[in-house]
Amino acid sequence: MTRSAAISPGSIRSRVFSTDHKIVGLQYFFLALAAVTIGIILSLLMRFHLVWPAAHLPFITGGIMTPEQYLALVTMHGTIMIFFVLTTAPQSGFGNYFLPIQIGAPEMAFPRLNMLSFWFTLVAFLCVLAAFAVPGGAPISGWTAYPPLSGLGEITGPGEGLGQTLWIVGILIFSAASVLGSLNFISTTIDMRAPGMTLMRMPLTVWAWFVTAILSLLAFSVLLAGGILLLLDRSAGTSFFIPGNLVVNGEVQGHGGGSPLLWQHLFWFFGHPEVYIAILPGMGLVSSILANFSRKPVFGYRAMALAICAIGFLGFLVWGHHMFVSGMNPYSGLAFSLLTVSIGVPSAIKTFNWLGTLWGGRIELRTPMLFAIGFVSFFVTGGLSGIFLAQPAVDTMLHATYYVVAHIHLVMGVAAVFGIFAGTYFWFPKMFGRAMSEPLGKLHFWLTFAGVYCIFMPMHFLGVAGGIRRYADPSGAKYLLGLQPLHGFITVAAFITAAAQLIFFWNFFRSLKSGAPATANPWRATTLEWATSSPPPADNFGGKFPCVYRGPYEYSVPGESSDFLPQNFSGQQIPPSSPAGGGIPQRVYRTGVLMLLAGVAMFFMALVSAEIVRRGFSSDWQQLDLPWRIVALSTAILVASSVTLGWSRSRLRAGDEAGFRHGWLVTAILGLFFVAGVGLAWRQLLVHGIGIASNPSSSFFYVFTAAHAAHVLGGVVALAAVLIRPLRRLSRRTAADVVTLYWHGINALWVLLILFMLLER
Amino acid sequence: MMNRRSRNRGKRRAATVVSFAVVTLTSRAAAQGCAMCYQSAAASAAPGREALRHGILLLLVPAVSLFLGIFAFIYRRRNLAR
Repeated sequence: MTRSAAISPGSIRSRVFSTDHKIVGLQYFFLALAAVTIGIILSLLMRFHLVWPAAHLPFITGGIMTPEQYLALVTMHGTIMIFFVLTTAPQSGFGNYFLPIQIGAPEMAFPRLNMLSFWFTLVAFLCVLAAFAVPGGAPISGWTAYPPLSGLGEITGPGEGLGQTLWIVGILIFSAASVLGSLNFISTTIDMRAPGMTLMRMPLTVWAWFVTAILSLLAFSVLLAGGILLLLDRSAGTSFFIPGNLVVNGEVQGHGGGSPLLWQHLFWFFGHPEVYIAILPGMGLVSSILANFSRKPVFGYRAMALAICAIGFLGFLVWGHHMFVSGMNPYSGLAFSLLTVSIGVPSAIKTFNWLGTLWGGRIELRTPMLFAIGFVSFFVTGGLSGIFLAQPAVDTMLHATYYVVAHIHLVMGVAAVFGIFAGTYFWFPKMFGRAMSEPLGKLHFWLTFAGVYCIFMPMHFLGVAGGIRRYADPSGAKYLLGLQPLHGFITVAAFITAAAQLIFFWNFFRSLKSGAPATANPWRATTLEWATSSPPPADNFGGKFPCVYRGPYEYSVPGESSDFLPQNFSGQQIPPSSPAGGGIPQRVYRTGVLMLLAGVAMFFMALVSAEIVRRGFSSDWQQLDLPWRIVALSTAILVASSVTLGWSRSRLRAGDEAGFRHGWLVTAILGLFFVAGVGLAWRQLLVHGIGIASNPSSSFFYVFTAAHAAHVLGGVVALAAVLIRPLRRLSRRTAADVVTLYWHGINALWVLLILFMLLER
Repeated sequence: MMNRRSRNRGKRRAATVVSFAVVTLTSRAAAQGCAMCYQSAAASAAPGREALRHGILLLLVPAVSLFLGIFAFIYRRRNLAR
């Protein structure tokens, strides 16, 4: 019996603090549902204000919305929608629920970590929302939190005090949750697949979740590093991103020569992959739905899987196109431009293959299918405007206009939301055992589809005509007055489209209670989630774990009596189940630690990259006399700890329990000595009056050492856990192996950091 | 026949040249997005620009290597079942 199954169903613990991936998936889904409701309300307030800027609103302090309050709405709408809806629902929500089932696994690789990721995300959401309630209100620096606006505190405006701090802390917690969640997804996909589930038999949804998880792991690690530096700029007086001699409201700020461009690099290194984190799961899902409702295999399955990987890969190379107007080297702009345009190749492969899947199919226009087709429509429309924005010269003209708003909303926002809707209508019977109303679903689709085009197509014209985004009151500029009727039209369309979502909510909650009971496979689909009951049992397959015999989209196979062949269909009457059952392979823990180390390495590389840029840009860099003797001694202690750990593990293999325990204990003590050494180095610096904000050189030293010491402390806790706690799921030998792997990895990172610090001197 | 073929070839060449020019001959942009970033970048000396290039590479190379490494990892375990 798996651990998830051991929790008694119906208890509060099983609903709230569950480690069952299905319940965690639903928790993410409902969190996203709450977030999207708030996000829509904020957008309606913005649209209302753009058309009637002088209108009295009873719930606004002072009655009339100020430009700062408008910017706070812009910031919070973007933040909530991008982080807590577009990142949360398709990947964490659907991915958590369906990834293990689609690969034939009983649960996620690390169920507790999965639960922890959700609770981190919830805390992050509440933290960000709390910004509305504090003095000064929510931040005004946009979802990109560009410094110096976001780095200086309340002197730069209302919301830039505690509100901005809460925003940053919330995003840091969210980033940590995403990193933990993504290493779970990657490990599950690599090591938990059912017998026969080879890579080329994985549904495209699994491919998409897998690639998205890699993007999340690497990109959120960089955002975590950047966010910590930004928080230090605000709270510790450092100058990573704040330029020197900055005058704000008549006051000279006491920061040194930081670079706002550095934040842009770190942020957009995360920000562009984030676009694909939002859209890739939708791409996988839409491919499955188009095949299902055309009763045809996905056209060019292999090319589709490779295109998902290519889009993910290229997504890492193009962040600079968000910075064409930042004064970057024109040659860099050219490189980023060409790379950006090249994403059109895998995107076109996907689009043509979607059309190829539809071509000649027996198309059933059910609600999920309508939303899937809508997804393709918005992806193509939004993608086309992206080709224009990929040209630096064109982007210069359009960058600050509504053209960009239209582009991002179509290609990333609405397309991804249509993917979420398609997934909701498609998987609702599986998740809740009931069906949603088809007529209401279709009404919801047509109103939303038409409404979205009415909102965002005119925005392209607004942008080309020079309509500037982020202006709270466009009527204030004479040349923009002529565009006000168009703004009026968009606002009316936005309200009608928002009203159409009430149909969805009504349909959703009504169907939860009184929808028609669903069978196990109402859509006659082929992937493994349809091979189990609706909703699935606690261990997903009721103890009969499937074997996989065929690809994921075998529809209308010539010569077969049925028009679909499930993946677990072997040709026999009763599909054989796997002898592997619900066991967890021990190698998954090693995979998990390797993925964790990949994220940690990316985090430190972001810090190193930041130091190189900061050093090159500044005139205030002083080479400080750092306490090298203590650092060298600490390094020697850390290297020695690796040796004792290796010895300890060899004792365990030799069956010498006492030797293992002694070696393990000595390693933990050496780890604590290392942390103490870091503390000693800090003390020596402080005695000489060198604090974290004294100089950028010392700032980076404090950050590097603190971040690494925190990881070593984590290792000490893991060492202690292996010694003290009885291990439930993993053998002692595996536990020793994975802790050793982590310890060696962290120590290797420290040695590289020291080498870097020595080389740059 | 020959004339039409050579005319088509000429058109193709012209289209290639124009496409190449459109893609590569982008004008230098004056910033309207973030004036401070633009000023900060424009005012930076040669070491600053060089540092930025190195910083970009230092973000890019590990990310790409880790991305490909994870794919190599799953490829090695492509046929392993639970």
